Amino acid sequence: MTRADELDTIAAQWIVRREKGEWSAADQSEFDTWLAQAPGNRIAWLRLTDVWSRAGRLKALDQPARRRFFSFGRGESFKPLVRVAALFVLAAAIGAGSYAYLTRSTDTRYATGIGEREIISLADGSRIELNTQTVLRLSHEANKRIVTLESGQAYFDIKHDTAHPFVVLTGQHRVTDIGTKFEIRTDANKVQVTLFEGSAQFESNDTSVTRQNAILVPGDVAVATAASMRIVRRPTQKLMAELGWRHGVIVFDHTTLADAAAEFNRYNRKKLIVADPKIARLTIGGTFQTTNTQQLTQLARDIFGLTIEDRGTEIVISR
Amino acid sequence: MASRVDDWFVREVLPLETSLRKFLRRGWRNEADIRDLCQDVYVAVYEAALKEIPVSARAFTFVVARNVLADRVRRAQIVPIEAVADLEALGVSVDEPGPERAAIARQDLRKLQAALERLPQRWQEVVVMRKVQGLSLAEIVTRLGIAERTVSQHLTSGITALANLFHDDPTDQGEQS
Repeated sequence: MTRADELDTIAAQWIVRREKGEWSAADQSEFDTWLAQAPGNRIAWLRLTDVWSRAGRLKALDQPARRRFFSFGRGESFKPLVRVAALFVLAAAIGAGSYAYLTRSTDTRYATGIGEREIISLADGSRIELNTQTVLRLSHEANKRIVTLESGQAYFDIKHDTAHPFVVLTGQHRVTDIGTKFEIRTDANKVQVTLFEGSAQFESNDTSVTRQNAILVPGDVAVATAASMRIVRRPTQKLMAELGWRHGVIVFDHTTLADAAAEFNRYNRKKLIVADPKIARLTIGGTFQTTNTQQLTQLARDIFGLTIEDRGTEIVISR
Repeated sequence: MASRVDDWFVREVLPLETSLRKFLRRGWRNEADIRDLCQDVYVAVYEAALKEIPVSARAFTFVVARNVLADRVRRAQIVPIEAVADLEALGVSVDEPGPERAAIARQDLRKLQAALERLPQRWQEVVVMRKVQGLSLAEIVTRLGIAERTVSQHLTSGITALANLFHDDPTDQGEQS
């Protein structure tokens, strides 16, 4: 065994120990000490954890889960699915247009206005948090856990139940949890799914383009438009910033003034307007209260020397 | 600071391992040392990043790799011709983003599945139970009817081997045969 192999073994033992579940404060401090002992320890641990967490994607190979997933849909039987190799699930056919039946009056509808937030606690212990201007429907179909995110942004903390997968439908896409904390944000022409814990399956189901499917693991951000889907990995800090809204804040980091204004406008009736394309490209950073536009306008005035004009229904930022 | 470097390291440096191994193999014939050399490169890169995060992770990592190799060669007092060759001559372009930059789930899955298939059977079994079927350690113990300690050992070996195989290009086995 080489030095690095020995180090790997110790690092892997830590991963296994943590996964056992009986993790005490004493374990944590022992672990912290080991991590801090040498950069090599930390690196070995980072390297193994990286692959081990990516390995969550291997769930896509779980054939019984796939079958269960496909059986979801209206009563009509799908053509027996060809047993495609799991790797080509990406190209696998999914019964198209099967969502319409979900729009039914028995659903419960939740809606938040501009600047509002709402927390929904479900009977199974799951929680859904709605951000500003969000519409979500809960289906009451027996033995199924299905919600539809019609618009806006929501954070899901889902209690896993293998027999009853939790499915979120949004536009042309669906997300199926595999024991998960995740966030979905819909904008005019795209859907963004951010995964914080556990794993989830994300699928596009547009009939006109190649359908896509991926298993998301923590740190993944999937962005899907009608025509494409891509997945990027984000550092933990950035992910946490994404959830600022749950505490009533927005976090900007090298965000353009135009994007920042658009973000504020989701939460406020009085809209910010950036008049000049040149200043729209200025970038800002920091943590702001969602409903306090003044924090932003002050920064624009004091730091960039811009002119702020309050016109009653809107605030115009110009040079 | 450490967590910023961690994030950078995981995002920018670890994905280079397949190319890095290829590079090291051309300069160092003893396959058994490759993982150690890799680790030496990582430690040097990480320590440098604690002071200042390099602009190009790829360029920096390969420069460090060349130094680590040169150092190894000097200490071993043997001089394989390849070890002193230039990066360019080794066919490793430091500027051009490698295919590994595109961290796409599909690629990950393909590499993971290939790695999984190459795992020795006993390790593969527990990795599949844990990661594909999502069983807990306790459930795996019950399912297999073997001691928890044994399951832990298999899993430990499985995690280590999976990482090595994940970063390894099976078509690049150097001169070791």
